[in-house]
Amino acid sequence: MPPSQRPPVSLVAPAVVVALVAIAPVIYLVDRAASSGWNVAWREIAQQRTIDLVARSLTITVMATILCVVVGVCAAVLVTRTDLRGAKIWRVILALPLAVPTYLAAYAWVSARPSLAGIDGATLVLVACCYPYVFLPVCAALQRIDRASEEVARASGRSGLSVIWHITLPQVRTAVASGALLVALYVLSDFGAVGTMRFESFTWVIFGAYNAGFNPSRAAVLSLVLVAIALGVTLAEMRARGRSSYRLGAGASRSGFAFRLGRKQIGATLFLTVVTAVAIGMPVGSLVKWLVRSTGQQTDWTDLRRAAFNSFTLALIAALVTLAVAIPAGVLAARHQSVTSRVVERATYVSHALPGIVIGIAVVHLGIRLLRPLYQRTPLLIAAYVVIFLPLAVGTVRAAFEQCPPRLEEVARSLGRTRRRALWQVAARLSAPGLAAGTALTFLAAMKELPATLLLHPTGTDTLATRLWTHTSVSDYSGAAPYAAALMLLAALPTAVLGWLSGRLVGDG
Amino acid sequence: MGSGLSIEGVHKRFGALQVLQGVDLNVEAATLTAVLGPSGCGKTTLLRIIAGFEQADDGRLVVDGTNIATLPPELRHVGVVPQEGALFPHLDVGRNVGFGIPKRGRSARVAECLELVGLAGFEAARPAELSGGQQQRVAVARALAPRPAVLLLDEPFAALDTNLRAQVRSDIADAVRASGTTTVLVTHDRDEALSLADHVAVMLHGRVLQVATPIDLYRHPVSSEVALFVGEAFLVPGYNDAGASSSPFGDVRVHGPVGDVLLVIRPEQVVLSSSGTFATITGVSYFGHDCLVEMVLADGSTVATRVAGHRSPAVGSTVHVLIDGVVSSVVR
Amino acid sequence: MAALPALVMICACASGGDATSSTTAAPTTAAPTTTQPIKPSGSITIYSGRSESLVKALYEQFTADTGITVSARYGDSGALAAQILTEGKASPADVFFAQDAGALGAVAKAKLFSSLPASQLDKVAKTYRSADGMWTGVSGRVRVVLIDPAQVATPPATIDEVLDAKWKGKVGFAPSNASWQSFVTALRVTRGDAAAAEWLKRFAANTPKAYQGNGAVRDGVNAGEVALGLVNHYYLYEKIAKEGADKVTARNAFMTPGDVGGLVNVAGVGIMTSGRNRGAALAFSEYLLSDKAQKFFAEKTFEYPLVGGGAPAVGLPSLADLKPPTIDLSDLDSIAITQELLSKAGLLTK
Repeated sequence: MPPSQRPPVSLVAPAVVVALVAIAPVIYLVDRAASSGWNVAWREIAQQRTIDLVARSLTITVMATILCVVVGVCAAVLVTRTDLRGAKIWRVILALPLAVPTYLAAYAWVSARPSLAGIDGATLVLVACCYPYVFLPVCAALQRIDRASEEVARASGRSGLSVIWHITLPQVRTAVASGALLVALYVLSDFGAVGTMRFESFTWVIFGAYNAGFNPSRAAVLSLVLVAIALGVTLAEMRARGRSSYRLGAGASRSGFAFRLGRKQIGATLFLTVVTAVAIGMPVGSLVKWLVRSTGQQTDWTDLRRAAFNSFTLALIAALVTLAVAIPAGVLAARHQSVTSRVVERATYVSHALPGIVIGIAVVHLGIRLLRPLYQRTPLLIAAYVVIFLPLAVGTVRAAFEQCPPRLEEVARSLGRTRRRALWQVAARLSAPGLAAGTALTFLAAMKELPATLLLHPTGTDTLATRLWTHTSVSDYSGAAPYAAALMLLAALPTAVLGWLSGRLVGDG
Repeated sequence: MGSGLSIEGVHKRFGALQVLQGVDLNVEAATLTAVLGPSGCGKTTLLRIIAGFEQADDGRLVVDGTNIATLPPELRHVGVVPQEGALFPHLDVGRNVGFGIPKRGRSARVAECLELVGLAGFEAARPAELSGGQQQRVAVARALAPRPAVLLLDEPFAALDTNLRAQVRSDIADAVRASGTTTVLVTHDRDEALSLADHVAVMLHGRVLQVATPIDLYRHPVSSEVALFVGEAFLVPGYNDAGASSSPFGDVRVHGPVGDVLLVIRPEQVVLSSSGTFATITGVSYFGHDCLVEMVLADGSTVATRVAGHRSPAVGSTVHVLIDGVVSSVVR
Repeated sequence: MAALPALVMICACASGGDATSSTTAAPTTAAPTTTQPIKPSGSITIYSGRSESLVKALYEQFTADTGITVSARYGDSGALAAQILTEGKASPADVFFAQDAGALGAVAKAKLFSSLPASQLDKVAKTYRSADGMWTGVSGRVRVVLIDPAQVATPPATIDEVLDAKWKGKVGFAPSNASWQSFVTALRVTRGDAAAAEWLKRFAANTPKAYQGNGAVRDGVNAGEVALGLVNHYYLYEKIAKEGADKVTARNAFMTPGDVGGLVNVAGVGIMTSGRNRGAALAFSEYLLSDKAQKFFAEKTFEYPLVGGGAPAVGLPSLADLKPPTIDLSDLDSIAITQELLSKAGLLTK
């Protein structure tokens, strides 16, 4: 019987507060859009150009999401369910594209192949940078499901492919859906790829409304359309997720047998090699080229070190705070399914579809009015990161706690622990790998973030991303190279941890 | 220890579904009471309410003269052994068992409890390394370690292999008894309930219908429903006139309500004999040590009995049957 | 000849870090200072749309010369304007130093600038500052056609000659570059939207090659990938400074006087009403208009000084000779409409 108890106020209250903070940018946008009059706003929305934009954004979102799902799921099946050679190493390598900012990847591609500019190139870059959002949760989920059903199906004479399609994949539907949600929201919000590839999506026009039109009201109206699309996407994900179920068994899953690839071994390796070449080889190759060219210039190591330190510290604080803030909402969603928990969880997702500059401007607006002493200081920047990256953490917290049977907490309570202590001593410990993964994901994303950082960073506190921008904004790619390299190297560490964690089981110690 | 548990008028509703409609049950101190019922009867809900995982809509739970119904689980001193044990997979056996007890004297108490369940020296083992039966024993040790006032066992043997179950079951019952803890065992398995418990409470449709010792319950059920639930039986109409009734088997001795009644005839009371009512054998299921014999009586009613394997009759043959002992009657 | 500025520039690029690090790019040819001893002190916050690698050395020199400390927040001029518009009267900025007139115009329109003193405004020709005195241009850049001499015997003299069929597939441009979009805006302002659309249509029909930025256009012309490139004048000199004159074959072709293709864009400065140190802010704008700063722009960024008497870098024709088209720069703030036009012509995005 599922725990149907009404969630305690000590959980609901912080979760609701967090949800309110998360949708604060949307509230600002509504206010801003209304300030120009609803007639103006409506005219903006109803015009043909806006409708075209919706179509364009939906097209690239759907395309990139589907491709990410295909690449992510195939890769996950290959490394967890087959006798692929070097599967453990592949698992780490395949997570690495998360360390590559889309603006870098896009620049690398479009300079090498200018004809890629447009939707093709933007899609290519977004898929290359985002498929790990699907790959990682699906890997983890594949690791967890009960192998018995696969074995039964195999014994009943189904081919390996048929078993994976009909038996294995339906069981990881939730993971696929939540990964796809993150991809879709990211694609909607991304400017790095569409900006560089010159694909006119919503974010392109929103950036234009700020940067060229000096028209924040128009930007707000367009952003609200994006919010509406995001709501649609999250609802679609709820549909696709179906009923989540998790293993109740207390013991570890047996490691199941692997599907033999046989002659397909070469094909599989080739597929993963191509994915890696596109997603990592290309940007790293360009980076090396710039680095070689920059050998004539002298690198300011002190500045590089300082920027790396700032990036690391800010991203770490952002990741930890986001995790802490995400726990109430994530636990609520995992343990107390109700209208409230659903609304709270979805509220944290909506802002993720907004481009960084929109969140940044919203935080500027609210910060300067409500938190003047903190304006352009670290806490407010962290707050912006929290709002932007909350869904990454809420999603992983939710998944981690769903895997931890509530029975265990009940037993702990009957052994004299309060609700909070039981949650901490049992569920949180068991969810540690999942929580660590969420932290790593947020850390990575925060380190790559640029538009909001430029608006809100404390004066004089430069990060690798802002230093990178300093140079690329004047087309000084050689000068940018050391910062780009440092950024990708620093980001590669937590990414490797992510790949490694995706192979760990709940309760493995 | 030394305190009983009194459940008084507990109600619980989930939405439109009234799961518990006034449960009353008195569990004597230091005894083991089994709550027996089919799935969906509300027995697990009752257990979760006693543990404090669910709140009752109404009713009292009295331990030692105190109503614990409003306390949070951690203050109730109620130990729980869930199905499949639910050991903390990230802690070794010693730390699982020691989870609920203060640091001082912990290791000694852990050793003591592990010994009680027959797993002395298993402190360093990881839960994943244990068999299902061992995991259950650890779960019991863990629940007993803080010396709870009441111990709750939630179908703790359901997931075990048949050949393992009997052994684990009796070992655990012994351990629980040795600890002197007031225990409630929730189960749908009547053999388990009858063989382990001091008292059995039969629960159907959210109510406790009867509480009795296993023998009393089996011999003197309060209703046909209870009679059929605690064991196989044939119900035949009869008229209890001061301890005797006519029946298809002839006159039988009856214990229970008088007047128009249903007679509860257990298969083991039907014996093949050289005299008595005629019956025709319609089927035999052979099990080696015994066999189940189905037959039809002269008046058309069908009964079955068990006979020793080597006495297996042939299908179609005619035999005489008698009723051995007193049959119980229930209100028609 | 160009090696010296190049060296200085690289130093300026590489000296990152905070504002307290010592100046590494002291001008080697310091002009006699004509500014009066400046009384204001304290510190100012500059929202700098001009990039750090270009102007950081200048800010450090300002601090060294005046004792006023500078904390600079760098960003895209447009994004900074959006930030200022959002901050409103509470903005922590004292000064907005923007890359183009559009961003300054947007802030002026929101009434967030306080007017500059006439003594400063009078230094700059009216064409290069706002009519109401809310901001002034500081340095200028001229739109040119960069040519590959190997392919081009007679360079186009007007922007319409670029449309000639003989340049089909041989023109490079940077669709997302702000200066290009300013030029198209100027085209709209001078000829009307319909004529501008027609020009764009013909331009698009000539299948121009889109590059990632002006620097890429320049490199494309220099490598002979295209014959012509629509860029600002200084990209050529940057490359010469960096790689040496012998490595660069491309040449600037300036437009006929008055042709809209030779538009002058300005980088400019405005003083925020929200500023808490108006004296120091005015000292900064004064400084930008001083001979020293003007010389800095001429020599380090190869831009045109806008204060009378300031000569451009060696080898550049003077603004007086170029006679750029007279366009009110405040009219160039309708870039959104320009982008729509570009988008319709298929020149903005793909």
